[in-house]
Amino acid sequence: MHILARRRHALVACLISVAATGCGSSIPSDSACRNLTYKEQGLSRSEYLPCAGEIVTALDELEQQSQAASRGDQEARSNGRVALRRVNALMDAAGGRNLLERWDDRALTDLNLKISNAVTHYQAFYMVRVTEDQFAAQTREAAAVELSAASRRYDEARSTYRRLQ
Amino acid sequence: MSRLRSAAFAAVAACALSACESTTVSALGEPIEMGAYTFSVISVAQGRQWESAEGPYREIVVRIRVDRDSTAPFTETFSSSFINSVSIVDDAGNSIGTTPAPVEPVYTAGRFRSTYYTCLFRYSRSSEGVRDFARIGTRPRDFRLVITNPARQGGQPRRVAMHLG
Repeated sequence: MHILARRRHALVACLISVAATGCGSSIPSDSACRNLTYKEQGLSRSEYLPCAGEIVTALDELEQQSQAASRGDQEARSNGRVALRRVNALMDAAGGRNLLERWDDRALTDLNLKISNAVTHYQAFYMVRVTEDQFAAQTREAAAVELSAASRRYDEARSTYRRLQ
Repeated sequence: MSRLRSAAFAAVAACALSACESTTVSALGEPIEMGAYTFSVISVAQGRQWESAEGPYREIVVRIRVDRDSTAPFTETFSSSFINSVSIVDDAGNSIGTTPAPVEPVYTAGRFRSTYYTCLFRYSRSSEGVRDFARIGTRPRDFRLVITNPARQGGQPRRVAMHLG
């Protein structure tokens, strides 16, 4: 009986975590990042830029929340994580690793690299747990370094996107 | 319970039988239809042989030419489709697997592709799939090549076997 009950609890916990992950990363069914059809040359600007716009908008939110989080706002930190999941979900829906493959339109590949680099640094920023012990200064500095790098890549991505529009 | 067991046994037996039935015998140069590809085994050769601390290492090299690749751009390649789907089997029950590697690949449609692929079967006493090293095949003619269809379509064979002699 104990084993059965434990299994049931594990199953419920598993379902909850799956549901939570799904809720956190769901993207609308009419998102421009869904159902993109890759051709020999990759995607064209007219096909991809609406999706890139959604990604950049999510990055705007991510940048804003991350800056607030770096000042110690816990709610912003939580919102930032949600925004990060959204960016990742949009990138997955748009093709995942195919965003980093070579497309004929090199400017789009360049945009994708900048977005991907920004996301990598935001991920690192959220991975660094700022502690209040003897390592506080180091962890704070590590988080600041990652956020600074993320912000720089985000700016680059956003200006590249605007140029391509 | 016993009825259930009988049904399960019958299902397993049926599966095993159908698997045996669906192995098609082919020969060098004959076109093989599997998934999105049509290809043929064009050559078989004895590879290098050398001594090591654990005994001899041997190689059998099989070359494949891909005549049709109907995969969508930015998806699969012949290599990724046939990961661990190609093996050589001898009469002693030794089975050595490999994944086809492209020869001089060219980057097209988001992936590195080639018309020619090499299956390098390298084995020694400690290789996976080696059961009886004392009786293991040493020349190509000691083996049968077995290719498993990774994505069976229509009337395609589940598995193709051919003697390498």
